[in-house]
Amino acid sequence: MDTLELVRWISTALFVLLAGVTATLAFRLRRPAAYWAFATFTALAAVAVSGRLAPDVPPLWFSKLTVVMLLAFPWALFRFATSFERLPGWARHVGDVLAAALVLWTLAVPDFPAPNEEPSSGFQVYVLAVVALWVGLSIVVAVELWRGGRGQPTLTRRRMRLLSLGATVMSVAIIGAAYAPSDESSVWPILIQLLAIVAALAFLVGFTPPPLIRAAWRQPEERELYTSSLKLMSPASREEVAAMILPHIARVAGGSAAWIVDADGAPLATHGEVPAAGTDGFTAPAGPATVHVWPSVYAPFFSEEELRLMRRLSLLTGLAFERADALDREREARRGLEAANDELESFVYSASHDLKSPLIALLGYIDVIRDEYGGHFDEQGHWYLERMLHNGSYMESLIGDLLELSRVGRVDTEITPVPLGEVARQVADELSDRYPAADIRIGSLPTIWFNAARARQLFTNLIENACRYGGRPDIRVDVLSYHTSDGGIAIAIADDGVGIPEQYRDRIFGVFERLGSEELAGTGIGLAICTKIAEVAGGRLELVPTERGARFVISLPSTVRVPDGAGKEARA
Amino acid sequence: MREVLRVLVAEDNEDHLFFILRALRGVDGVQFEIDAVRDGEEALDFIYRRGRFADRERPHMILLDLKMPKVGGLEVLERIKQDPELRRIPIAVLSSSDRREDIDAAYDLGTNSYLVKNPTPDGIRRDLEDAGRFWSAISQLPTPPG
Repeated sequence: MDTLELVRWISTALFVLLAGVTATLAFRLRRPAAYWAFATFTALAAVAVSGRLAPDVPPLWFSKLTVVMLLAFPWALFRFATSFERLPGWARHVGDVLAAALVLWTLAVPDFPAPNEEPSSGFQVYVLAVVALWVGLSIVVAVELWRGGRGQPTLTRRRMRLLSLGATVMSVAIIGAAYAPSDESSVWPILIQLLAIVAALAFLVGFTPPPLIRAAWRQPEERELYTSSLKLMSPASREEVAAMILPHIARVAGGSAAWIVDADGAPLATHGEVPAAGTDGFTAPAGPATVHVWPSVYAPFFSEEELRLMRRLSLLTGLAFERADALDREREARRGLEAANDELESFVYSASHDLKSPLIALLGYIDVIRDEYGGHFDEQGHWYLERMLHNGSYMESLIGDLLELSRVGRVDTEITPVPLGEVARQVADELSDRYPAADIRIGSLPTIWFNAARARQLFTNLIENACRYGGRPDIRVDVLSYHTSDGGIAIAIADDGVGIPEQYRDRIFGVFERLGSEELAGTGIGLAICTKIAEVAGGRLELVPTERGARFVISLPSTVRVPDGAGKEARA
Repeated sequence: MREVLRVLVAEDNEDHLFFILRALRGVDGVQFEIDAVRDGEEALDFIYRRGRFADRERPHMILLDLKMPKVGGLEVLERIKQDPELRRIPIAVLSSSDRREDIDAAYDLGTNSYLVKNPTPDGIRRDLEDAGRFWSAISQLPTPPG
């Protein structure tokens, strides 16, 4: 078999393959465009096959039939292009009329010249008309498909432009077939067949790209899907999610317009011009909402995969909506909690303020009585007065501490580098008056970002607690610090006293909880204040189980650490 | 040093008023002539010589409780200190609050001193005695506006 025969068989095989491919498409998609594609390439395959099987000098009717089927190719291809409804209606009619006219002309042609015969001038005009119709229709198709690819997703665009290329190359092939020298020894017939093969391949890849090419050309849209689904993590409300994701959804589906509506039909976001009612769109569920996309007219035929991507993205958007809703609910709950908290704190503040007034009067009258009638009282009477005074003072401390508790975190919030060692030593000095026998040892404590007044409060409360509840005057209290496993700082105040019975270990942190009688002094609010101070700083206060004595540990996060060089560690 | 000093005391709590009067009585070397009013409205009527206070003389100084009904202490303070004629009268504010914000607010409005009512048996007595001594014997007082 020589080269020409070989390429003729190859091109025929490709055309038959194309017919099969378009048949599958038509069967699967069942759309007008697919049927027209099937018609187009069935006609071409029929021509190619019959060309292989034809005798050397075919009868007239055979030749005419061949030409009619040949004319069917550009006409059906033209109808394929117009089925996307982007060309005006009259263009379709013009194409139909011209094709019909040429078919009639074909039937009317008296005779076809033999292979070596000189064609008559009438026949030459006829051939010119056929070629002109072919090329004309093909050019319209090529331009339409090329331009239509603009703005489409990558895969769709490349497929459309491949089809456009195929149509163009076929036109060139036809021109060649009509006008190039056809003697079998020249190179032209082979070239023409090669052109036909190129066109067939272009059509094949355009209609059914192989998986590798498909995957490669889908990369931009896959990347878009990936980055936009990452972006879905940040917006915090439904509207933000919708506004952010909608352009991506529209782009991925190759559509010009899209919108997202919630369950009541109210739009959350719109993108592009929504076409008039009645235009078909694609709908995808997105959790509690729905995505509508109006894809381009090419999408149903070319963009199946893109529509699948769009559905995936819509599902992810649905998850983002649910997350945004959850965040909303959490925000609401937190706001409610903060409002209730604020109300409580301002109530505690004004209540403690109001309680001071009658207390002042009570205590003042005791003073007056002592002053004016003190001489009339015996020891017992004075003792009663003393108890009244004592209780009044106690009430004053309670009110003061309640006030303090309500103010932790709202007042005295200025943060500076605080040298804990110095503060602790000052507190120890002050306490040495009241507890002279106590042995308070301050270890090496760091400098941290804190509020100086609150730090002092912490040490005062905790160290004094140790002295007060330790059970003996010569109690030893150690104040140490160490690094915690998460990079934070812990400060421990440990004593070797009687410790805290297990059943009280949780209760002591509550307000008004005391382990001794009032005689030991102390309002029972101190630990609650300390806990709150620690929590406001992002840490916590705990009672750590120990063999003997009590050990309180304040854990603070790593953010309180002052970088080295900005503060020195205090030495004992 | 004056023999007789006229003091306007504005205090709504009668017990606190009792302590204040008692304390001022205990200051040696001076006799305080005290007029007591029970709310801010009366205080302003007094100082502007309105109604039943029409023939009163202006006081040498004012002791002003902050928390009073009708018109509060801060408003009285502001009105007096913004009046060019009355501005010179020294005012000592009395309050149970020792909060920084409240102290600063009073001084911003022009108070001459700020006393905290301490809830201790002799808190008011001692502070008021000391204050009375200060204003009568140590610090010079201006002439009350005519």
